[in-house]
Amino acid sequence: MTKKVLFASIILATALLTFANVALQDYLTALLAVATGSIWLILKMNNKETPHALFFLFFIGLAIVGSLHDMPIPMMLLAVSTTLIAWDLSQFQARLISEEASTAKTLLELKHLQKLAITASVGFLVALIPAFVQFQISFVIFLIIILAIMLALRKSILYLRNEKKSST
Amino acid sequence: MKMSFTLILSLIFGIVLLGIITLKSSVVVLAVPLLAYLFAAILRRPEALKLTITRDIYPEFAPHGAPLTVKVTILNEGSLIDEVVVEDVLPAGISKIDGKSSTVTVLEEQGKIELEYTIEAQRGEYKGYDVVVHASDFLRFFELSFIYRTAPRLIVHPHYPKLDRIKIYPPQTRGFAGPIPARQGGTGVDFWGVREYQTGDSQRQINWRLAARASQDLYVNIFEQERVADIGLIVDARLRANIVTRSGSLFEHSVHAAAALAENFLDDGNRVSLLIYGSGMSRVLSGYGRMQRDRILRELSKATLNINYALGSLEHLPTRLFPAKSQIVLVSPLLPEDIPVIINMRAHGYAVIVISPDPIAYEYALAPDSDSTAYRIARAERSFILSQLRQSGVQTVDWIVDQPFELVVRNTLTHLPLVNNNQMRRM
Repeated sequence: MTKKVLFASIILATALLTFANVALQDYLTALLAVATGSIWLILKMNNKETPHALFFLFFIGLAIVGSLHDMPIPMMLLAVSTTLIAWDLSQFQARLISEEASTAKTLLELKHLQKLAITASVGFLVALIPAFVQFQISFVIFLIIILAIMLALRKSILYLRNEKKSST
Repeated sequence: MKMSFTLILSLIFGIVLLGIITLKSSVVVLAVPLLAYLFAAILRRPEALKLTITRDIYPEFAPHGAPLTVKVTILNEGSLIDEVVVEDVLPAGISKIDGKSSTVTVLEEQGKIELEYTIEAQRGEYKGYDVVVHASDFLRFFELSFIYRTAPRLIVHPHYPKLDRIKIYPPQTRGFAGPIPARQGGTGVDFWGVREYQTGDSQRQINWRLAARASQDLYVNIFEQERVADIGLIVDARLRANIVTRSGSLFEHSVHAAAALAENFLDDGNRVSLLIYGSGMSRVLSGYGRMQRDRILRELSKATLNINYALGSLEHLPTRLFPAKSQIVLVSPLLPEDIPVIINMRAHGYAVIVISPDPIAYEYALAPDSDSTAYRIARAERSFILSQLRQSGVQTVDWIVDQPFELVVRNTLTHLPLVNNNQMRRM
């Protein structure tokens, strides 16, 4: 299951970024994206050790370039999300490579995929909101909002962790 | 904090900074999936581990080379752990032959992980085992590592061969019936002598031939009594007397031989004691039977080579620990300065057997060079040592450890020491 999701993520991320670069008429970068995605996929198919951090950085870089060239935000967000999933699953698979097939391993994979799916979906959906709601604010207010968000995040994390602790 | 965490954090800051510089919200939003990812990791970060680890090893007392089953149970008494890596660290001298000694899994609240595997252990006593546990969030950003120490006892005693009955002839025996000639007339198997008939003697014991030659007196046959004896086993654990190589140690052969001898003597009903001399002085007091065998094996399991300058020579061997005129069996590769000590033991009335694993042959097997002068001198010196011992009435067994010990014993110790016997009769 992990492998299938990993392959699908690599293919989807590669396809999206290639498409974006073709749309930008940057054929060389598109070709590079295809080549990188293919190498990553082939290495993973053969259970080889991969420099996943490099592939991840390259794909995120392409997504940033795409966003800078005003490519559609949902497409770039999807590319970032799938790249993130592919990178995470590459690492996860590398950690489990020496582990023999067992029910414990299957359970671990299933739980990981569930949590990753929730995380990636929430991240993608939350990121979509500002894409559709556009308004102009001053830079200072923007900074204050960012600060408030960070504080809220911190508070919510602490609250959730305390709640989890008290429930146990 | 891990590299991946740093990478994600740097990317988030980089993207947000780039978005602010270029004033493009489309760039800033790219950081949101990464932020969500980071948020999830922080949320699922393991706080503290509350694990109870138990380990069972069975059997706890086994011979070297026997397969042993290890069962490690990890019970989570805390909250759920997204990813836990459990690795059972095997102590030096133990190797896994089957099963799983590590795992990666999810550990639910009150969940249990069981590892079961088979090991093979070298001779020794094993007391402490480490279990390394790494608990982390499902993204492996935050990790808690703990080492738990479990302490079940495992004793792996030397594996030893079954020997043919060793015939010894100590000057003094104990009061109980056994297989050792006691130098006293009475009931037994071997003819000992004749004496005049006394009232109450069985008629079947009358020596009719002698009676026919005598005018009126009757004589009865008496036989040599057979009893058990006191036997003291001494194992030489001095580092400088033994040869230690990467492939093994001559001392291991000594320990195996001592275990086989102890078993043999105890099987015959003798009272056996043990002294391991060298690194210290480990002792097992005299005793009989199976319990004594187990005590001796336990002590032999723990025996190690070491340097102890106070016990560098056999001069400090406390022979008085052994009953007077008892049988002493010394298992030692021998050093030239040991000879006077052993001869002295003979002079004190002990019957002495020296079983000497040949250190020269052992070393030669690793680097054959029989033409070298050093080899020839060493050989001559050893022959001289052994001949000196033989001349003083010590039974010696020159054991080239390539040969099976049972075979060497069959050839040398399964018949009564005739020369030794005569010498002792004169004493």
